[in-house]
Amino acid sequence: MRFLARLLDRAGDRVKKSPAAPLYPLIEAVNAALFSPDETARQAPFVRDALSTKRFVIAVVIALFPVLALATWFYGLKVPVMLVVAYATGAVVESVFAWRRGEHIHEGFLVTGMLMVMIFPVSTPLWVFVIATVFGIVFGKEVFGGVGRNPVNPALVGRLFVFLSWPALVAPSAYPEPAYRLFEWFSPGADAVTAATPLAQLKSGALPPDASLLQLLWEVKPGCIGEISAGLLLLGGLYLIFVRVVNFRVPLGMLAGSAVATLLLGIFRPMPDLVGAWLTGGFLLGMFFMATDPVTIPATRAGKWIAGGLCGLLVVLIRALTPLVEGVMFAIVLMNLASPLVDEGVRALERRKEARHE
Amino acid sequence: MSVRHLTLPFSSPYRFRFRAEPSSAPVVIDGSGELRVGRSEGGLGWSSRGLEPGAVIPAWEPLAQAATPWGAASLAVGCDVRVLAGFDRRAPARLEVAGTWTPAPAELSDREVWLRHFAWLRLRDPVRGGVLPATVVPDRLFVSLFDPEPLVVPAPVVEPEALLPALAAWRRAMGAPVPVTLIATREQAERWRGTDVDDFELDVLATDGVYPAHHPGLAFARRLYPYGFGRLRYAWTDVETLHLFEAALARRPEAGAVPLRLAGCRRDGVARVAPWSVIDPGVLDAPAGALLVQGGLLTGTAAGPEPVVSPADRAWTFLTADDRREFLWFMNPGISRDSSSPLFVSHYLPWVRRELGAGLRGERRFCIACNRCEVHCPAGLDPQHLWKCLRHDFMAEAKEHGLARCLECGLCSYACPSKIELSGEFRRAREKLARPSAADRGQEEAR
Repeated sequence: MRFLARLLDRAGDRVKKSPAAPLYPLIEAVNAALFSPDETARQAPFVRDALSTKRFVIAVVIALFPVLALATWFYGLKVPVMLVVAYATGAVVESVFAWRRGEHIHEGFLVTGMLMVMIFPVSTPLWVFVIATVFGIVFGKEVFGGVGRNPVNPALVGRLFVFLSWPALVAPSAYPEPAYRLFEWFSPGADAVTAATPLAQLKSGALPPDASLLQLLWEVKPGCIGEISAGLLLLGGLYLIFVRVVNFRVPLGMLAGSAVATLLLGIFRPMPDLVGAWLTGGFLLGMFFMATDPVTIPATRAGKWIAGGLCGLLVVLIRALTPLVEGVMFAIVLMNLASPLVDEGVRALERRKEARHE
Repeated sequence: MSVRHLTLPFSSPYRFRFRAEPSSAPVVIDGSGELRVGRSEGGLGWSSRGLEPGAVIPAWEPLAQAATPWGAASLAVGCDVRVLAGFDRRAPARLEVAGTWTPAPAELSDREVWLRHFAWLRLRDPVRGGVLPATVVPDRLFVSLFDPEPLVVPAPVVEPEALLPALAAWRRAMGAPVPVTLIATREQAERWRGTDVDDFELDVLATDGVYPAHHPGLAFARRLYPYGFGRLRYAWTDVETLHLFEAALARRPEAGAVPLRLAGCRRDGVARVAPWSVIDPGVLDAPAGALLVQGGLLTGTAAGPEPVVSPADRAWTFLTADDRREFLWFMNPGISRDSSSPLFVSHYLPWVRRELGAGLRGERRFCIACNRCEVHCPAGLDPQHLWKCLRHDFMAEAKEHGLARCLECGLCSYACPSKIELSGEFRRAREKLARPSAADRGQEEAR
């Protein structure tokens, strides 16, 4: 391994001085991805925490990995292939933009690519998936300045684009029933055994009476790839909170917001079971992995509670009052767009409190 | 008047564990016999009138003068020196030591000794940052009884009987009953129960002995009664400085040297070196490739090839670079809250099982708004927001958000996963704010 490190170092040095210098960021990116950095702090503090952006990103990938493995078991080889496609597309788009800007390649697309796979049904054609990935990364992130400046979650932008452009391809009617397909390639024609998702059943009030909450938690469910198991999502989310990659305020706020909305709406009309609504559809996936994307949520602590609550509220409102079955996607995007405003408000209130103190 | 006891409610979620136990044996280090005095020593602009090359300046005679709004400050050395070169725009003045250290002449008043002895360079302004000019009589003096940075050494035992005379000596030099606040660990504060002082106001502020609880700015930022923020002139120093000045007044020889705690090299201990003297790093017996940091790991500065002993230095730390580069290092997401040193892996962290790496390579300072800086900020600021304001030159917004409350403790930079130099940026912005514009200075003088 030391040989490889030395080789990369030397290649980087040589390329930097040669006419191929524009390729240097690529070698640098490979080097940075494989080996720990050898650069040193030039100013205080001279010690830095071991948690770097790369670790941040990889923690999310690790948290979602069990879900991916389970989905591969039930939906077949197309799932890992989709991940590879998403990563390759993301890497190309990210590299092109980084190269044009003269910046280093950021590893943020590792999370976006993983989430892309999670929020599409396995029946999505690969070409649609590639278009969604490119659209999401370019118009969700790069046009706003790249990593750290995206106003909304890029994966959701891609999903929304497909949702509005090819609604039939990703509609709940296209969700296949999970079955053992580990070594098979999913083809919509042959495997189009579509099933009503538990969320749809919950909405129409037709959830089978024997479906207990524990079953919703542990059994595999039809839906998008990432919605296959609520239990694994819960475990992954708790892991992220435990390693402090994800802030606990937004998920808790979302739970609280949805509970309040369900109680209030329950006065006027019959509402589906609250915990059932949490465990079905994309609620857990969105709550732990999308709504918590730190770039798109408010920076202030109070703002995080507010945004989480707002998001939970919107999920319930959209699920109950619109013809849409699923509302998590829209709720998160709306919350993301409201975050700067929430931050402004919270800061203004804090300042007023401060002024009173002085 | 009895001593007032206060408690600072601060406990960090996080304890630094840099540890080394400097032996108490004094380490003898000789300078190269040359002193280098910077032109902007202590943040003042020194004029070099009289610093003709070849001239000999007797001990305790002013080398240079600087005008401050509160009167003229002077810089002096405790031994005869021959001038090699005066102040240059960039380069420091170079002086050759031509005699041994002598005590201050008996006819110098206490105030004069204070103005000329280098101890004043060890008084910081905790609110604005930087050194408090010697000519200022502060409205309150903060004395840290412990120094958790750079190394967690056991907090020293400070006996009231030893410290009170040193405080009295300093207050004599001020010529005013300056109130004093001692910042102590809980154990240290216990020793001060039952102590009485008769002629001035003394507070004892008990804190957790956690970095950066020793910083008076924390008491301001946490709105601890009864100290207002930024209205008055505060000074902040440590026990060693008070003892140093007490020795200078008593004309004792230890007043001629800066006490330096050495950590990380083979000669750990307390060294006494003449201020401004140039040190050959070889005599310090540091491990090969080690970096000398003047000050602590969190707030110090990297020394150049010819380190100059700054009068404000309290400790020198050595860090060794680890050349081991791990394959797929990021696949081990650090759950550990330990401060494994990433950029330099210090060799005195033996209990860190894996030296995890993280650094600047491949990271182009994208803020991912993770808010870890806010979690770590002891002053309750949002460093991320502040940094973005500064980057876009929104000075008014930065000021309103509380740039003045920044302690410059370095914890935000420490925690940042993108390795953004937050605290360095804030330090520069605060320096820019504190630097009085020409108009301000004129107003002060007119008053």
